[in-house]
Amino acid sequence: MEGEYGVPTAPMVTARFADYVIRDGHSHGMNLRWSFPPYPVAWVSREILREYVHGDDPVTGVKLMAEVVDALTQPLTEAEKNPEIPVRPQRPRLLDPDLGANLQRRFLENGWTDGLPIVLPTEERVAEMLTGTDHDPQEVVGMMSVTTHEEQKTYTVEKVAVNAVMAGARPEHLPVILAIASTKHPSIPSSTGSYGSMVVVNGPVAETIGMNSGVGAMGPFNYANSVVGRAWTLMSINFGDARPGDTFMATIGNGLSFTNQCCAENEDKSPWEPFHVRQGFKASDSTVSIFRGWNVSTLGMGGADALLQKIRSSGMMGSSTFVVDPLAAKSLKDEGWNDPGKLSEYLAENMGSSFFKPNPEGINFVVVGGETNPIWQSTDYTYYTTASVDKWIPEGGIKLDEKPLRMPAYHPCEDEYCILGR
Amino acid sequence: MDVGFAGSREFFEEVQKWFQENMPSVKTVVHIKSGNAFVDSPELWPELKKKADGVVFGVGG
Repeated sequence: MEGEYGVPTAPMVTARFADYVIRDGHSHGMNLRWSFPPYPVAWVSREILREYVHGDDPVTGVKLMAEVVDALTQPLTEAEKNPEIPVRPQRPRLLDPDLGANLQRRFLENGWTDGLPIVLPTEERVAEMLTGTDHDPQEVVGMMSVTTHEEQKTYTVEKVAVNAVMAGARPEHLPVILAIASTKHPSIPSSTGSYGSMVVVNGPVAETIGMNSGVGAMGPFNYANSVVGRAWTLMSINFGDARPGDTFMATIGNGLSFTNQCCAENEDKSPWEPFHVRQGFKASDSTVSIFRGWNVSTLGMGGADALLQKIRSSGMMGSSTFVVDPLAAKSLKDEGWNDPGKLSEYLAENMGSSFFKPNPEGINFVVVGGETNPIWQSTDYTYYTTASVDKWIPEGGIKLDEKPLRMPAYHPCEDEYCILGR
Repeated sequence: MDVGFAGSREFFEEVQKWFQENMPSVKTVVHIKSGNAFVDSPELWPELKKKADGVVFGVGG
């Protein structure tokens, strides 16, 4: 507002985030004139809010409104006109050799893991992982920060491979992990409200690397789903600089953050076009699609009216993504919803939110599940982007191990009745 | 400018009352940002440039 439009601006954030926003601003060359009311501002009485406004800024000890008036009226200082931008130190590429147990401890105690044991990223393992793509190890893939506004750290193909090794992935998984990294979206961006994320894989790569799109697809039953999802979290921690209480503010945290609901869409059983095709890709393209929000409800049943009721009652934050079992998708199609886009329009037109303007593009559907019941999961997830996996696949194809690791597979019934012995 | 976090509107209504009580010559308008707090509102900035001499923006958190 000030730099581009010349409008004096007094930004306010609750005192809980004072250190965060000051550091964030400095990293972007902005010495903003913050005022910090006490916290929380949410769900407190009017009397308390009035006391905040008439009281002192708890960070500076100055009258809050005096700060606001000064912010709007006093001329800029030299320091404000010429801010210095601090640069955070880089981690060394290699650590000194040590016993495995000591290195596990070092990774954990430095906050470089998700709290679970990792596969130590030795030079040999990373080199093997890098056979999963033809791209140069020093090619920059992207940059991210969990704060979304603080200094974003760039990362290379090699750094992605390091986190892929740590997650327990194999070279066959690297193109999908690189595709996720290329979106520049952390799976755990910082919000006091504890974000959850979801990554959905479409296209031939899902079957090639043995992903699950059926029974228990979002559960702990598939190697590829687990390690790809985990790699995203590790990248978010290490590239995004997630430090609880410092850069990462989710007050409770989200249990989905370990593997981020990583799954494949059940394209074979879906009555609709695959999700990535609806975003403009070809069916033969392999892609990852990124979603993020706060709320997930895992048991919903019924048709369009039930979806509408769910959206109305859930107080959605402007978006919704439904994860729909193929049976539920078929039922919706039988209701007349041949095109999920039309269903999105119907829901947007009728949801009647007075807080956020409903938008059909903000309501999305992906088909996942094993047809044990016509269930859908509702989320307030926003769909962010779809990125190509194909660009990361080696010219010779996915680099499979001689004997790829696969967990026990779910075998769909051959007919509708799943009679034992068939 | 209420960015849409819970409690922001009520907080800014109290800020507005403060101006009415202490600086009555200052005209204040509580404006709710369109969309949600995490997306840009490109139509908003030129509107503020046109209509506002100053903006109190928040409340994050």
